[in-house]
Amino acid sequence: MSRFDPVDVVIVGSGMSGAVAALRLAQAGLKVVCLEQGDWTSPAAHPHTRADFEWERLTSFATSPNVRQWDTDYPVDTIDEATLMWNGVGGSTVHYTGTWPRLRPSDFRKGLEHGCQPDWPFTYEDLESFYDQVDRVSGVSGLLGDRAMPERMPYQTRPLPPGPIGAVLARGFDKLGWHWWPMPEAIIADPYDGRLPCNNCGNCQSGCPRGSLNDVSFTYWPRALAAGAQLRTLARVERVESDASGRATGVVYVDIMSGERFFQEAKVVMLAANGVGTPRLMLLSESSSHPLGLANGNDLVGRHLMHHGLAIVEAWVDEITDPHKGVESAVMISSQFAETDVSRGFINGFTMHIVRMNGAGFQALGSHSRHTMPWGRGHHAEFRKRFGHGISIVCMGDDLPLPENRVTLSETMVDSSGLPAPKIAYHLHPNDRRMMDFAIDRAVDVANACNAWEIAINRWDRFGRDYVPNAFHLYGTCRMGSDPATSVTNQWGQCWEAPNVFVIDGSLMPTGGAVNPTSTIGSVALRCADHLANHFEEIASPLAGR
Amino acid sequence: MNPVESAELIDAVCDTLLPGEGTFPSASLTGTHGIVASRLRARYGAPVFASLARDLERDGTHFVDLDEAGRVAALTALEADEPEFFAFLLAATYLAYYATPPVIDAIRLDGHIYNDAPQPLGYELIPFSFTPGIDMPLDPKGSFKWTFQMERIDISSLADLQLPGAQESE
Repeated sequence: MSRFDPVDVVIVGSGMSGAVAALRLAQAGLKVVCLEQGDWTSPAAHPHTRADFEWERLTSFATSPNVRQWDTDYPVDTIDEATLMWNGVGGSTVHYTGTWPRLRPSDFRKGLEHGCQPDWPFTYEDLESFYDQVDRVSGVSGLLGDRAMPERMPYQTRPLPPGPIGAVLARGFDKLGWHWWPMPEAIIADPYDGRLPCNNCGNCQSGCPRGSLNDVSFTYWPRALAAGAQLRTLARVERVESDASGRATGVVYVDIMSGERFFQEAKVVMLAANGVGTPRLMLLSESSSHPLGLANGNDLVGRHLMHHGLAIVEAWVDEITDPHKGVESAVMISSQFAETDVSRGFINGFTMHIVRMNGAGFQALGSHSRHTMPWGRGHHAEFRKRFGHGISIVCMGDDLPLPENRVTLSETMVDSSGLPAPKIAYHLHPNDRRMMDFAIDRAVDVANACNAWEIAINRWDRFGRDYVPNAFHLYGTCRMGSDPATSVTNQWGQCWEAPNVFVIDGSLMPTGGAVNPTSTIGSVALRCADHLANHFEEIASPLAGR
Repeated sequence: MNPVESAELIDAVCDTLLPGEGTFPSASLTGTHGIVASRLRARYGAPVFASLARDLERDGTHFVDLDEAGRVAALTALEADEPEFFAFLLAATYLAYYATPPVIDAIRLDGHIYNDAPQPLGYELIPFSFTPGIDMPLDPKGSFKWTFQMERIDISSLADLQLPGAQESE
C-alpha cells in the first residue's frame, strides 16, 4: 500500500462541513488534505440547458444514489425511505435548493423543555457568530425583521422575490392571521463576491450551474484551495486506522480510477461524510481498540437517525402562480407552529414552506404531491386547467431521535469497491405522525384560505406502506453531548473514545428543529474546526485524552 | 417482434396516453414515441417491446389493431396490474412530450412564458420591492423564545403517546 506524507488533518468528505473545515484549518496554517470519493461537477454537467432536463433530474442526475448508480456512489440498503445525497465535490450542496433558515433557540433546549430529546451541549447564542461567518462566505438572501426568529446580522443580498405565488399565499396566511416571512436562501438575488445572481430559472433541485446558489464547490472550495488545502477526488475512504491506545493514525482509501489503496497518515481525522456516510465509515473501522466500530463502545454510532417529518400539500387556484419560474423553495416560511404547544396533542413543532413545482412535465406527473394528471382524452384539458396555477406547501416537522432509527452495515449490498453499503431503518414516532397529520390539516387550511379549487396531499404512503419519505436531511447519528455515556462526541465533535477523531457533519446534531439543516451543519462544522485550530497542538499530541 | 412492429406499438401507446387536442399535438406528432422507446430499451432491454405487446393484447387482438376504447381498456388494465412499469412508462412519456418544441409552443400559445430549458435564459427576476402587503407582511406576526426563556412544560396530557424516556436536562 502506498503512503502519502503525513498531514496535520485529513478530512473525509468535501460537502458543506468538510469544505468549511478545510478553509478554516488551512487558513490557520495547518496541512490539510480532504478525500472525496466523487468528482467535481462541471457547470455543463448540470441538466439545466438541455430539453430533457426534467428526465435527467429524475434519472442520470437524480438526487438518489440508488437511482443514479454512479461508480462514485454507494447504494443504500433500505425499504423505509428514499435516501438522497450527492457524492462529489460539494456534497449535497451540488443539488439542493439552498434553503437557509436557522434553528431556533428552543431547538437547542428540548431536554429542558420536555426531556424527550437531549439538549444540545451549547446554545443558539453560542452558535450565532458561526452562522454569521458561514453566511458571509455562502451569500444569503433574505429580509431582516422576522419576529419569529432572533434578530440577526444583515443578509448579503436582497430577498428573492416571492412573485405571483407569494401574493396568493400572503393573502391566505393573512386571512388566517398566521406568521409568514420571505424564506432565507443561500441563493443570491444580487451580484455578490464575483458570483452571478439568480436568474429565476426554477431548476434548483438539480443545483445551479450559474454559481448563484451556495454550492460549496463554487463558494468554499476555491478559497480553501487558495489557502493551501489539498483536495483529492475519486478517493474513497474505506477505514480509519487506529493504534492500540484507540487514537487514529490515518485513513486507508481506494483510488476509484485505479483501484489502488493508499494510506494517508494524519495527526487528526475529521469525518464529514454526512449523517449516513460518517457512521457507516465508523462502523467499517472496527479494530482491536474499537471492536464495535470506531468510537462506538456505547453502541450509539449510527443511532438516532433523523430526517424531519415530511408531508406535502398542493393546491390549485384561479390566479396565475407560475410555479415553474423562480427559486424552488424561496417563496416563504411560516413558523406559526414551530414551538411546542401541548394542547395540539404533540410535542415539538413544524414549519410550512411555500415552494414551486418545476417544469411542465413534472407538473403533469403531479409535482411534489404526485397528483398525476390523467392520461388519455382528458389530459390536455386538465393540463390547461392546472398548469401555472399550482401552489405547494411543504410541512417539515421536528422528528424525535429514536435509537431504533439507525444506520448499520448491509449484509447484502456493497459499493463499487466492495465495501458494505449502509443499511437504514427509519420510522416516525406516534408523536411525529400526529404532528404531521396536524400539519397537513393546517396546510389544507392555508390552501382553503387561498380559495383553492383542488387540493392534493402527499403523506408519502407508497409501495404499499404508510410512510416511505424522500430523506434529504441526514443527521443525528453520532450525537454530541456532555456525557460520554449518552453521546458519541463532546461539544466540539471530538469523539470521546478517540480524541483525535472529530465528527463535524450533520451526524452531530442531537435534534434537528423543524427547518432545513445545511446552514446549521456548516455553522457547527465551523465551530468544531475553530476549536481544533485553536487547540491543535494539544489535541494532536499523543498524550491528549489520556 | 420486428422493429416496425415495436415502433407501431410504442407510437400507438403514446398516442393513447396523449392523443392531442386543439393546439396540443398528439404524442407521435412530436417525436415523443422515439424518446419513449429509447427510454424503455435503456431501462428494460429490447425484450420489453414483445412483453408489452403481450400485456396489451386483448382477446387475441394486438394493441395496434384495437379501437380507441379497446386501447384505453388495455392500458387501464396495465396500469392496475403493473403499476411500477406503468409509472415508468407514463413518466417517460409525459417528460418526453413536454420537452418537445411543438408542445412548448402550445404552452406558449396558452399565454405562458415557458423556456425551452431552464438555462441560459431563466425568467425575469422582478426585484423584491419591500412593499408591505405585496412581498412582506402588512402586519408581521411571529414569536420565539430565547434560551433564557425556556422552561419545563407539562406533558402529562400526552401519556398515550408513550414518549421516549425523559432525558435529563444538562
